[in-house]
Amino acid sequence: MDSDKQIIEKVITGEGALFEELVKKYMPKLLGFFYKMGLTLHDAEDLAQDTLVKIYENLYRYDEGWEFSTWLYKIASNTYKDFIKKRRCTIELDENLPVGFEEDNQLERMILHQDLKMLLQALKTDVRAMLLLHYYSGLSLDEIGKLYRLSTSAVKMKLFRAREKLIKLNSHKEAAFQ
Amino acid sequence: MMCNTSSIIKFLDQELNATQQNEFIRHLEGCPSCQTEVAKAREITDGLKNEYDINTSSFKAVMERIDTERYKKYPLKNRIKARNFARACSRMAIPALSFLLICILLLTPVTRNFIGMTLMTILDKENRFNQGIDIASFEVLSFTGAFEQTSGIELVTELNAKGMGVSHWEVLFASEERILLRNYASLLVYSNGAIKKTAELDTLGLDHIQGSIYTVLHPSPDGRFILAGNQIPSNEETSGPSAVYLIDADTGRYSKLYEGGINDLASAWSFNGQWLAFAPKNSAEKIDIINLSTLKEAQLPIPESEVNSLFISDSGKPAFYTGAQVALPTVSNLTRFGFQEQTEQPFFIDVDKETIWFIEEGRIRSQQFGSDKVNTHVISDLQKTTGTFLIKDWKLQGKHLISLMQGGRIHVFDLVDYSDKLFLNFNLTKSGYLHWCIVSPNGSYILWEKEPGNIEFMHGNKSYTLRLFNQPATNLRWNRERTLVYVEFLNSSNPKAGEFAIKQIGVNSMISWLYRTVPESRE
Repeated sequence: MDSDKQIIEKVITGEGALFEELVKKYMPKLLGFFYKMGLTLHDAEDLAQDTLVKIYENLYRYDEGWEFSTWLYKIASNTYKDFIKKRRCTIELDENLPVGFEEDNQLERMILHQDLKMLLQALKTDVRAMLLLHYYSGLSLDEIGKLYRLSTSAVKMKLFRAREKLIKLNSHKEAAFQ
Repeated sequence: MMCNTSSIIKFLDQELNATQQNEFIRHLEGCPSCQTEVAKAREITDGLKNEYDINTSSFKAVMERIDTERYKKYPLKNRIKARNFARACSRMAIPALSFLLICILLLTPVTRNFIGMTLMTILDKENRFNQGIDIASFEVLSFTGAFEQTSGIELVTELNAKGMGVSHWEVLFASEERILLRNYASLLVYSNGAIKKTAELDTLGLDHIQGSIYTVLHPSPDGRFILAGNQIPSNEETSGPSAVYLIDADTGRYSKLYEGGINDLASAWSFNGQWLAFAPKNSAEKIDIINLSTLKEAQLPIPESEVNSLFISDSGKPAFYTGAQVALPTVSNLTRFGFQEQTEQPFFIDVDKETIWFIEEGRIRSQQFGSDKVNTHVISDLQKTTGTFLIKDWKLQGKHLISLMQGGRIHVFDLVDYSDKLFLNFNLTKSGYLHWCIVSPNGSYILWEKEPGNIEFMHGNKSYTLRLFNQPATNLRWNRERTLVYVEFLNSSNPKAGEFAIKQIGVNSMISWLYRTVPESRE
């Protein structure tokens, strides 16, 4: 199987249909990223599509000095920011459980999704994004540092504090219910 | 001390060393609450990593929206050419536009004011001075003018009654307009031939300020305002309530700016004395900026960071150093900051010119923000002679950087109008003694104490002796380009009697007095 860079090379030399491979690979990751950032599944899907269309249209600008996934999430983060700016409202949690997840019908797991999503809202947008980029999207600390113009150690510290906050909040929340 | 979240995270990430890891496992076996916490923490991390299955129609939707022939229609060669051209243009355009914008900002006072105004209008919050600093409502401020009515002798009696010997007076600041004198408890201002007590430092509500060596006063470059607070010793755990105040030296009005010690606060005056910026050093979320001519306050939100040192330009634009990064406001938006890695602590950031100045490997260096290129500052005259200019010692005084170079030369570098020709090159003695020195307001004289009681100054390329005896050099302050002031105690046999004079000495060693607590005949 071709690497991302090989696919891009082929796409920009005329084999446009090959882009579907990148779409298949990154669509679920993007969808999960936007969903976990706090969007409804519907909005997350729109944004994931928009991101991939933007990626395709600007593919010739892709700088090979960057990992493709880093570049992709840079565009995804910007798309998210633009979207939030336009909406100018706080993000609501889904009223209903997401329709796209029928296959995964374990109620417990869904509740965990919702709980985690709610906890994540307590973090600042950038920190939330960094946390998801690292743990969910698998970007290295270096790559995240490159995206946010921070040193690796600064990113590491931010992620550590964010997780600490999440765990503490989770304990408080459970204590409140008991 | 294992039952805490940070140990749990380190354990899960396997960041504890082998001994700690084993220790934690042993602890875990006997601690049910930690077992639950570890399980929950793992659940959260796993939850972050969970992937989703997805309906395939979304793939199709993307493929329908794109034109798969796009890159066939326009050959890549042209696109790459266009891309390279666009990159080259943007590389040229950004510096060119920044330069143009900075020129406009610097050249037209109207624009400069406008920017200051916009900043203020957007961010101005309720102005503390108008609200709370009404002289009548603050008893401590009613000292204003008291000196004008009492004679010097009565003043001294009053001070002595409080147990504050005048021997502690020192010149805090001097300029043509005003001279500030302080001791631990009081602040005096001399201007227009009269002297008055502006503030009782021990009544500002600072627990440690009374007669304390910890009281720190930072006057503004024009001496009009003073930032006052306590340097809380780091070894003192509970130091009681403390706060940092802004005092108006002319009227004695004051405002509380910050709860805490002055050493916990990063602060900066602009060179023109028009602006004050401050922020807590640890985890600041905003920078406070005060326009000292309107006394309006603005708050610039910043990404949470440490503010190791702070700078503000004459047009009110701030910059700061986090200990690892330099942050400057972006050109388009003054309320947003751009960050850049910086290892060495900058001694100065010129915000308008976007230049970072620092000392590295014994050399003065400057770097344009956003550029990787570091300029080592070449002093033309020095290059011709020795070729080396390692800095042995340096200090900042007001708008001047004074550096002592190897080979015994002192350089005074004007940080406002810096350029090669403004380097003043003094040939100092080979001993290279620079424990204490001060530069005249325009930088054409530099004064230092060669050894106790032997004060010299440099002008042009020659050094001269200042004929001033029985006075510690550290009491001297330049008030004009060619004169210095100091306090002299008139009754040396009884310093507690508190009779003193403010005296002035010229570079020609001519001494005159500006103010005396007793008539000359009684000296």
